[in-house]
Amino acid sequence: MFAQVYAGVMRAVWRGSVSFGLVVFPVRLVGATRDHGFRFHEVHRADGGRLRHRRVCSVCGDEVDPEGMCKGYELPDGRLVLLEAEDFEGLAGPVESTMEVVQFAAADEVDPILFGRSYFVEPERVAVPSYAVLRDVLTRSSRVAVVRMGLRRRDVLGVLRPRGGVLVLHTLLWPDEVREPDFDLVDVDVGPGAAEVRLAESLVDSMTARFDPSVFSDGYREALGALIEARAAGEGIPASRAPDETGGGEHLLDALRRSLERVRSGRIRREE
Amino acid sequence: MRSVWRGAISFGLVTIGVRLYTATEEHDFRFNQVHREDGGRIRYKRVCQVCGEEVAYADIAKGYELDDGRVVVLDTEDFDKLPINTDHAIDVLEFVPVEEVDPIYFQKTYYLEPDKAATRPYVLLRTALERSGQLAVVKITIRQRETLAMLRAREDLLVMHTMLWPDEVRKADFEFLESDVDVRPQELKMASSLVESMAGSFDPGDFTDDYTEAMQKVIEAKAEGAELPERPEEEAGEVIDLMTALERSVEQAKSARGGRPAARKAPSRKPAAKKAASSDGSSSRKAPAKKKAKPA
Repeated sequence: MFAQVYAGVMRAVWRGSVSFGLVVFPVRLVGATRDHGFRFHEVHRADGGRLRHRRVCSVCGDEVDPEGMCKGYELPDGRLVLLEAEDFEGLAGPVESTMEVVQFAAADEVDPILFGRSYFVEPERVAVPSYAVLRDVLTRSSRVAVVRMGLRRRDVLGVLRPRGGVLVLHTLLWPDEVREPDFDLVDVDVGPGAAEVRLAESLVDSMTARFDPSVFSDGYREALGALIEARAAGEGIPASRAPDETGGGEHLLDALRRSLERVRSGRIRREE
Repeated sequence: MRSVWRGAISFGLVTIGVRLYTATEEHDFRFNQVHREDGGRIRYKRVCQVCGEEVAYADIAKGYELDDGRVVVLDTEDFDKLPINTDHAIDVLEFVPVEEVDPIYFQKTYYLEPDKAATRPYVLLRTALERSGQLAVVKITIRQRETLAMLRAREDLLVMHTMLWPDEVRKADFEFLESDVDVRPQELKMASSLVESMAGSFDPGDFTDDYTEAMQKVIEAKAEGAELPERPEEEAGEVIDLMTALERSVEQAKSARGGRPAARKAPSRKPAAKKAASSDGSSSRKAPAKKKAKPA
């Protein structure tokens, strides 16, 4: 059973309907991403025993079972508002079982800063034709569908985007969840005709490649994996690598020119 | 704003000193678990399953369970000694066109602020990215973890989006992809009209998080001991086929045009489309065959 979960069986996190005008079709959402980090447990160093968490009240000191607990929200004046499960049920928000298309927008209009989590949208068998129509029309028009839905007790704004043959739901942050940067740049005039800009652009050009994420690897995860293996085999810890040196303080133009020469002669290569 | 990281972008031989700031924060209410009887906050007591003793924080290590059941125990210093790149650098590896990067990889976003002396090269890199429509692919170590990320020109600033690793995006190998779906041209045409009639420019400020607003009211009401609002009922409706649904939707969207496209607020249990449908005599909608199909 656990082996199955780790092998990546796709479990639905939400079932409901997409509503697009009067077209309504049933779908399920499954998580599109997963963390590939190692999962650790807390253990007692002295005897290697796994730790169990016991919930204890900080006032009376008793152990409390889930039925004896509720949620507390602390007001700025320090008073505590207690909320029960039924308080959450009555809250307004989108219908839990409907993903409603409220608008269509050009795909490149959505600022990537807003992107939250990603889910694959899988149609139920009866819904495949309607699903295919929405997917194909989005593909042809280079648009995304802006949707509202209730997901895990939250009011979610998202976009549906075709990716291969599958629609992907990207949840979006709310505008007030994007902070305003509170620093100002000193006004620097870098005219488009300036030699620096031309050089920088050449450098960008010469380092441009097709994006293929699979050429990059997670060095941290690999190092941690090696450490776990070494420990399992009863060995010590692999030696540390010295940090790379950072560049010097050459004059900007000169640095750009020399970088360009290096890239052109192939001395700066993309990482493997 | 407090910076979360300080270091330098290295772009060829150019070095640009920068600080990173978290660009986003959740606006959700944060709750604590509370003992209902006396309002006491719940604390976690860590108890060892082997010796049964309560374990102090300093005596906790991390255990990784191997396939054969043995547990490898690692301590903080083991993590500190991992042979990873620990220099404070954002290394530019290459540049890629914006449209080539699948947004499914995007994680957290940071604002980059240049050190005073580095403003000029910062503006230069920002300008070069903007003019070329490219993103810079970078590697950075944040909180001991090496991360792949993208630098992007956003308004006057550079922002950094951290990325998932390729094996963290799951394969979408769904059964329905193998089935032969025949999208009829008239359906596609009708759907296109519907998309056009509901198209607009995207402004996230047009939408509000009704749930969080409602939560705010509940908390305020509870704080004053007031009654809570009631929850409205849902209705059921008629089942119609795809083509009919598309046609009626286009009519509706067209007659609704003139104002802003589509429903801007959450449908709040009563979708806007429903009202329009019932006003022209026909009753409202329901999912065609809302079967819990497909045994998993």
